[in-house]
Amino acid sequence: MMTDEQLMLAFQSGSKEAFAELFGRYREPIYGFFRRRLEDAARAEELAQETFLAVLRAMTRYEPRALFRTYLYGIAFMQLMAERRKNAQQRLAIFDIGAMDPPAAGDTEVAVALRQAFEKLEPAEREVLMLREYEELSYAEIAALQRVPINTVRSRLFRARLALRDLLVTSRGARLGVKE
Amino acid sequence: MSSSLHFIEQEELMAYLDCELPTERAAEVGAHLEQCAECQTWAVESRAFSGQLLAWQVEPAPKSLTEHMTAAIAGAELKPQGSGDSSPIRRFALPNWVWATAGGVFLLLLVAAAAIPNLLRSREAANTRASLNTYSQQRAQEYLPPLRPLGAYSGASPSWGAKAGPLPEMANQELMNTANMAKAQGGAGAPGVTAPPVTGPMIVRTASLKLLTKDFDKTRSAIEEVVQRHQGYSAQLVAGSEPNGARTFSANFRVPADQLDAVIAEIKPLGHVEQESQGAEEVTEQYADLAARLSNARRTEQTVLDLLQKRTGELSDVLAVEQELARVREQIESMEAQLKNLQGRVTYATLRVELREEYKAELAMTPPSIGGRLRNAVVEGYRNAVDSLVGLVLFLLNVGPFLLLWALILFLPARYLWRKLRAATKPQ
Repeated sequence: MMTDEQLMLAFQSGSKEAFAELFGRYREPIYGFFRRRLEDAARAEELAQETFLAVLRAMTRYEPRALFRTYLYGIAFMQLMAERRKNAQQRLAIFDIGAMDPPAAGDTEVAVALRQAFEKLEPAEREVLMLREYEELSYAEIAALQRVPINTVRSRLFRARLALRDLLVTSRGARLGVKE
Repeated sequence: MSSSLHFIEQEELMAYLDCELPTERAAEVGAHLEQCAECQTWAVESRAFSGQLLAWQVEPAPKSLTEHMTAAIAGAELKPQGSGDSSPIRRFALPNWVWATAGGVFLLLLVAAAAIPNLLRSREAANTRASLNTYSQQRAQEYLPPLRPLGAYSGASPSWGAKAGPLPEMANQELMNTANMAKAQGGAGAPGVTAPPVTGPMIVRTASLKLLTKDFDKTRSAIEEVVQRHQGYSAQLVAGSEPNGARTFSANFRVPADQLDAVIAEIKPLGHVEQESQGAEEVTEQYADLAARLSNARRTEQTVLDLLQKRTGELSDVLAVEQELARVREQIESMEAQLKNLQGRVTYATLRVELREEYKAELAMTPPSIGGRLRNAVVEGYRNAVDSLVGLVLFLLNVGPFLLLWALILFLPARYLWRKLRAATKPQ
């Protein structure tokens, strides 16, 4: 099985199948990245598409200096930042997780509680926690994305986990079944 | 839950569970975890908590995303690396750092283009000054030989002519011709001052000495004795003293030019030489010119006299001739005086001697009071503070606009390079 970096180099050499393979690997993670952070599903789809198109357009400039995953999430993160800036200018606080769409019909009670608990976290800590838990990025990758030291990532992650845990325990702990 | 577990912090245990600890530290924490029930409980809870977070799942990516990307991938124009790029714009597309470097070089060239002409002008001016200084030194060496022992010069004509370069020789030859021509024209038989033929450069020499002596009276007498012994005389002399101060003596001596070096050599040991200088002015051309004009004037005088003796006419004509004769004789007298003065300046050099007594303040003088010293210190401090403040303001006014301009120009390239550098060195 070829690594992401090998696929990207193959794509640079003219293999469209290589990029199709990469898209298949990261379609769901990238869409989930935007979907958990944006209330508008259609906008999340657009930004996910824009992220892959950006990789497509920048193919010739890609250099395997870092993991392709870091490179891809870096582009996605930049797209998200641009979206936040645009929405902030329009005074539409879309990123605010608490202002997300009402829970979907398929959301479980635990999912709803989690969404509401994440809403109450500090933005920087919330972002670190989500990148770690849902995107499964390493500390170093998160540090590279947010341009902060690794120790900062670790301390933010620790505080975010404790805070989220406390929130869930105090507010909805009984229903979520989190132990005291 | 406690905030710390023995020697293992919770944050470190969290990093261990995330597999983010260095190998050695992870082994230590793992060993501790096997033995510590409290940590085991915390680890189980943490893993369970992470598992619960996964309950927040999002719906699968829409099919439209796959369809759009499939179409985009199919329509993408792939250009394998190394293949030619037909687009004229893409062909010249360069990495950003290349553009940044080119921009920096361009700015440097711009600065150089603005600065180099000024530097060249400064260097040219410096070269010109250096050339002039060198030429002046050469001229000075030609006419002002180093001090020689007494008796090195012999005769009234100084031996400097032997050292004269091409320019003095040429000038001397020309002046000789002029003088001979004037002589041939009838100046030889004229009465009055006769200009001796120019046999070498005519140099007016001057020298200055500043001496410091402990025995003021004895040194002053010795100086005057030396001057007299060398057939010199005092042209001007001033002596004085200040209350509670040192005595001073200054004099302009005229000594035979060929004795000047001997006089200086004898005077210098009489005290501590604080300053010594010598100068030489060539007046050969001036002298020859004056001599030629004098000869012509005498010839004119002789012609007018002949006219007055041989021709007869009306009274008005005789008066006019007399007036012309008076004018010519006035010119002759003036030129004779100038010639005599010039000869005197060449024959006798001017030596200025300034003598100062070495004076030590008496111990009985009242030292400044402490209050006065404090007041002086305050005034001096205030003056220094104001001076430094004014200097700073002047510096900012002088350099500020320049620095501001270049800061504005270089800000964006510097920020770009800094970001590139930081991005290149940050941990992956």
